[in-house]
Amino acid sequence: MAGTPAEQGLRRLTRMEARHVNRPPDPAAPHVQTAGDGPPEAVARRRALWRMAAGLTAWTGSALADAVAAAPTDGLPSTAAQSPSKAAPDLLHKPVPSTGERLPVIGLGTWITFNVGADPVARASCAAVLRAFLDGGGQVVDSSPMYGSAQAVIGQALQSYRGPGQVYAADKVWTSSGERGPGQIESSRRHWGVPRFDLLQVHNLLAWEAHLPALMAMKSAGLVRHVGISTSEGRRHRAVEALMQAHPIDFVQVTYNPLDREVEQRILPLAAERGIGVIVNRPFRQGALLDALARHPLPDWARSELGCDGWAQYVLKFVVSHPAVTCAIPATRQVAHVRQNLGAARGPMPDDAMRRRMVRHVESL
Amino acid sequence: MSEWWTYRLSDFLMFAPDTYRRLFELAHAQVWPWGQVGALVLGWSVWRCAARAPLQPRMAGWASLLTGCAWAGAAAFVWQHVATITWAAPALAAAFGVQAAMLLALGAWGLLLARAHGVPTATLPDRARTTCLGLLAIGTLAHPLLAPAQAQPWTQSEVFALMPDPTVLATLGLWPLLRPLARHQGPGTGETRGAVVLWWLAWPIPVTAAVLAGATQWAMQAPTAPLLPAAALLATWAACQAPRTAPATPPGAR
Repeated sequence: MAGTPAEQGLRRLTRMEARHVNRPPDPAAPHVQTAGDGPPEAVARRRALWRMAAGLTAWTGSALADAVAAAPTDGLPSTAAQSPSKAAPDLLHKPVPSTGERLPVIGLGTWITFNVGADPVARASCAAVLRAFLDGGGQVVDSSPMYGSAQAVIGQALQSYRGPGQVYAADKVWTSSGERGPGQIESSRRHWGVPRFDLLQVHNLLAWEAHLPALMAMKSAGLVRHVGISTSEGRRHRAVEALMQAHPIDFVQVTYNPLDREVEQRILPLAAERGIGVIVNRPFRQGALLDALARHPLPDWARSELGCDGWAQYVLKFVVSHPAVTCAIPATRQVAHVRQNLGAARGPMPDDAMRRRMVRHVESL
Repeated sequence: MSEWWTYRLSDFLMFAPDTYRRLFELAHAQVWPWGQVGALVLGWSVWRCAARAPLQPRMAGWASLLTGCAWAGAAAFVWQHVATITWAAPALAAAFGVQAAMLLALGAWGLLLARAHGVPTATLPDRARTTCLGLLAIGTLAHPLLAPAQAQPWTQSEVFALMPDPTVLATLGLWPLLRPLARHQGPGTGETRGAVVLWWLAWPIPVTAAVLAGATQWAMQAPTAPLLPAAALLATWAACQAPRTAPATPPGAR
């Protein structure tokens, strides 16, 4: 079959999508509302968009036409703007620069914490965390095929969720083979049990040359809403910058906290300039930062002026108050910590002067 | 991997320490109580076979056979439990399976040689032999005590033949003791070449597993992290000691 690797990948994925949408609905399946679901008018808009996608068939070949023709008439994923979470409208939301849809500034990471294997006790604990997160108004849940069983644990938790929350499903593609990308994405989607992902990122820029065009083609075909790239702990920032300059991505995921601020120099300004959303990973340095800060008392001014109830909120308020940051994705397996993290999206946020003071204080400890 | 020098050991740890320890609880619950009883009997049997002085070829063969069975049990644990949290586990389970097969083959070969020809009994110098038996005793019998010693519940104890680390540790102690099987110089030298090859092939996997286990525990900040790498070094030192050769044992001797 001719075509670029991206086109070939898209054809494989649309075939998988067609198999998925042709399946009769499972009456036992719970209704997990993704961030793309919405009111009837939004559904109508989505149908129109899917019909518009048929216009892409000259580019993507007949496989996409098959997928569009096979698409069900309701429950289609949306590209419509997202309204603030119904569960907690008081949480601070920020817009995705490329689409304007608003997301809560506190998300949920799943690296290590949700990789609990088949342990039923730990899975129940993770489900409780996800339930508290969604009930509390959180939306962005981020995972990766690299995270062991995390995707399946998320999927099981979503399957049992009956609350009002909406999930913004963010995942990644992580394979050195461009050919295996579509299959991996489909496997990830099945683990999650969602109709499609809201965001797909190229994990650690691995084989981005093959994956990024494929993800862009998926986005054009309506198979994913947003596309991004990810890195962590300051790695490959030059390459990240180059990709941000050269490609119309929606998100970049980087590490940022009061001690790891390299991204303030170039990547965050570039994201603001190019209209790219920023997801912040490792805000607590995988817990090490909080462990170190816990040896010191929270300054009174952080309580009185920012409403922080602990170091976690101090760090998160610092992170998400940067104008270019869309959201942070701290990971935890404790319900109390989830609620505390979400609390960072409420109350006053630091201005520039306060942010500098926060950095000075942490560096002095 | 670009910028590989920026990665720390902990960057490769993809599960939490409590998640890892819960795997032991789940595995114990599956086989309680006869699995644990069987594993302890197996461990005691290996130690009894290997602790004979001097170690006769038949007993060395049995020790190798039983330890091969233990590696099969550890491979099953890796395949069934560790694979749920680590995508590298299937490869590790396969390596454990290969090690099990090699020890079984080495043991069977040793028994056949002892029956057919009699094999000179070679023992390690006292200090090396004591070191090996110490490692073997910790691996087969004492390792379960490490969990309560670290204020962890008994249900998270690692047991020889059920979990990898004590199985690896016991094998590191046993391997130098099996050297007589690979040193036959009398009639049938050609037949023993296979045993020599198997004896050497049975070394890299336990050593590699010891290094990986030590690295994993180091990343989890476990105080027992140096145990397996240190055992690998001690066993290597013991294997390098010149053995003392005793008179050949008659065929079928125990």
